[in-house]
Amino acid sequence: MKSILIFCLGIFGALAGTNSAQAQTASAEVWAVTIDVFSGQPNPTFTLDASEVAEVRARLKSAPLIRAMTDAKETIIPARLGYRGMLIKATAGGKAIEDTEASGAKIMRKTASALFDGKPVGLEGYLLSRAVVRGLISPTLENQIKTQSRGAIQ
Amino acid sequence: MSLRVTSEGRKAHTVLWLSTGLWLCSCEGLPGEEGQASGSDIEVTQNALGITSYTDSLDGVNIQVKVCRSDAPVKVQTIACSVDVGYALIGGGAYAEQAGTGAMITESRPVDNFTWQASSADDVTSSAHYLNVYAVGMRLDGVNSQVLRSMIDRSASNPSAKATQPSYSYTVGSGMLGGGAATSVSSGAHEFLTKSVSNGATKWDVAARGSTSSTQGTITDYFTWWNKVGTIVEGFGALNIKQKYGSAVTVNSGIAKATVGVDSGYVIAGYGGNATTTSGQGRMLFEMGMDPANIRNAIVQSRDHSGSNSKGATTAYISEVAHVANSHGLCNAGPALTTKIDPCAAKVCASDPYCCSTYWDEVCVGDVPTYCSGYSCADYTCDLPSYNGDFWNNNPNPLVIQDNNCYSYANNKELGSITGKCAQPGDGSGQACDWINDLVNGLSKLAECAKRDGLIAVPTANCPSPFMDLLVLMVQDADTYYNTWHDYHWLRRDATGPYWSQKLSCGGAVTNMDENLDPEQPISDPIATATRGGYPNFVGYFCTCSSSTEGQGHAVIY
Repeated sequence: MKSILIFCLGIFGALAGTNSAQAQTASAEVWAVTIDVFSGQPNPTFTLDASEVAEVRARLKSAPLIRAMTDAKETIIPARLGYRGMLIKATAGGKAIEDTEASGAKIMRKTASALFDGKPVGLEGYLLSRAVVRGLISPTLENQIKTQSRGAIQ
Repeated sequence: MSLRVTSEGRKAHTVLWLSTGLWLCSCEGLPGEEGQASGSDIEVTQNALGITSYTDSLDGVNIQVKVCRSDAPVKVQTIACSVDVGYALIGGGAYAEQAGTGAMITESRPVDNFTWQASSADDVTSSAHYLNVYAVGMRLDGVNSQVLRSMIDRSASNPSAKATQPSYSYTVGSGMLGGGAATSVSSGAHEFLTKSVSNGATKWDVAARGSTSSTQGTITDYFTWWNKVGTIVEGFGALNIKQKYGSAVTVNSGIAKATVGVDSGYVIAGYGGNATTTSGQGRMLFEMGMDPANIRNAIVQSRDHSGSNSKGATTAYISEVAHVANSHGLCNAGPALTTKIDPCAAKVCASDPYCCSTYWDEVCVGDVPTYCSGYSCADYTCDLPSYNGDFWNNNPNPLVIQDNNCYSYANNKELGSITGKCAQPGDGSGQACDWINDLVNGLSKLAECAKRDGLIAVPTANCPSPFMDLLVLMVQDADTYYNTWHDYHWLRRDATGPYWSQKLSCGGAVTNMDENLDPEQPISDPIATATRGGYPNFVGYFCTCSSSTEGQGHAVIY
């Protein structure tokens, strides 16, 4: 009886340790996406899971560089009604590790102070699909956004 | 004047008294379905559980009569019926539909700022019957609905002395809007209302009669009253309240039906009735409420409970309200006011008779804090804004750009630094706006939410005062996948221009340029199709009390 109890404690201890490690990883790095599309209503916002973070990271990494930039405050989000773009904020321990804007065919990674070509990597289209999966936007709105992007989002 | 009936949004509660002594409550609140028009200019929309909404508007006074009907016949029942959030309850009534020997009214009274409650029963054969409860709500153009509710009080008397025919006469004072009564029995089955009516302009009289001579009970007097009598309401002006009695209808037996209509220039505020008996078992009231064919008519009916031998007279009563013609807030210029309309106006006019003889101009407005101690116009004087995008786009407080959206910008109300969230239409009324999931009535609900914040809807691009700012509301197309609406957008007209300006999102920039065009151009026509940027549905024009100081508009939108 005693050994079983010890065994169970061991199992729980191991599980607790695993969960704790996962929780630390999850809380350490948070990737939040905002689809900048509404005027009055709050914009759709969601947090990426681990596999989505990996996918976004890969797409950001493979996006062709257009040019380096010196002004990190520059924005590519246009001032207009309807779909404007996306904001990606990745933080770890409250500190920004990725601060990205995407609009049309362009991606600006402010942490890298560089402008990338977004079209080959399809970042906005991918993130739109993740918002649809979550029920935050409908396929109808997804199509409207793609139309408003004038072909930049496939 | 417009008469209109719309779909219902709030819930009614039906309470059933069972022989086991248990109270059951069934809550009604399902979306509406289209009904039949009962007149050439009246539309009727009724939901599946018998809640119908009627509206009437005249010169800035908007009335909603909500009719809640039990969804099944019940022998003894209580229904609480509420007006919509955009209205303040001012009166009500009840109608026990006749079946068998006929049910009578035991209670018809206000409960809170939204709700009127009534009860009915049949002591002779316990006939199952339908009960209709009428809740009358008021909204004043230019007045936030939550602020309006603070101007309407409710009171109740102590219960009367115990008697077979208990009665009470309570002195309300001036400003009586609506009244009612509730009975309680100590022996016997029920006390039924025979009187719930104004006695002159200052008293509300109530009386009841037991179904048998052995019934003993009490009656309590209830009423609602306007606590702004003799004063002006900023944003609206003054409200006139009037009591009206129809002609007495005398019958020797059976049912007596009396009616009374609202006077020209007024709208309905409350219902009452009186049934007197000169011989026989005794007449009792089973209806004091709205004529379903016309919101401007009231019907009162009486009969005796167990026979048909009662002779007596039945009289219908209504209270009615109207905007005092040409009245307006003390803090805004407009037609000349009168010395009797408000003590402050009397003081200003004593100093400057021009204000009460010719025109209440900016000088009169400026005199208000001078001659009326403690009265400040800081929150009420409307003015037109000039474009000042820099205030929002480059404000040192990041919350100004981050947490203001098109709605707070259009109202020129910088709320982000105060609330930390983007204001939604209707927030100012104390309840979130439920419009986005209603494809059929969503746009009218959205407009209603702005009105309950105090904005004034206008049919054309003209505000009732040149000092109010014109706004435009547009909406994106409906979402055919989820069957919802997506988003709305507001623009405001600036004093300089003649251009319009907008805030593009909660967190987005303020601009007076239309960047949906290539090349971008000043916004000269906000409802031109080419410039709407994904918001193709024009909902309407609205007017707000803005300010010439950027970010300091006066609309109560949160």
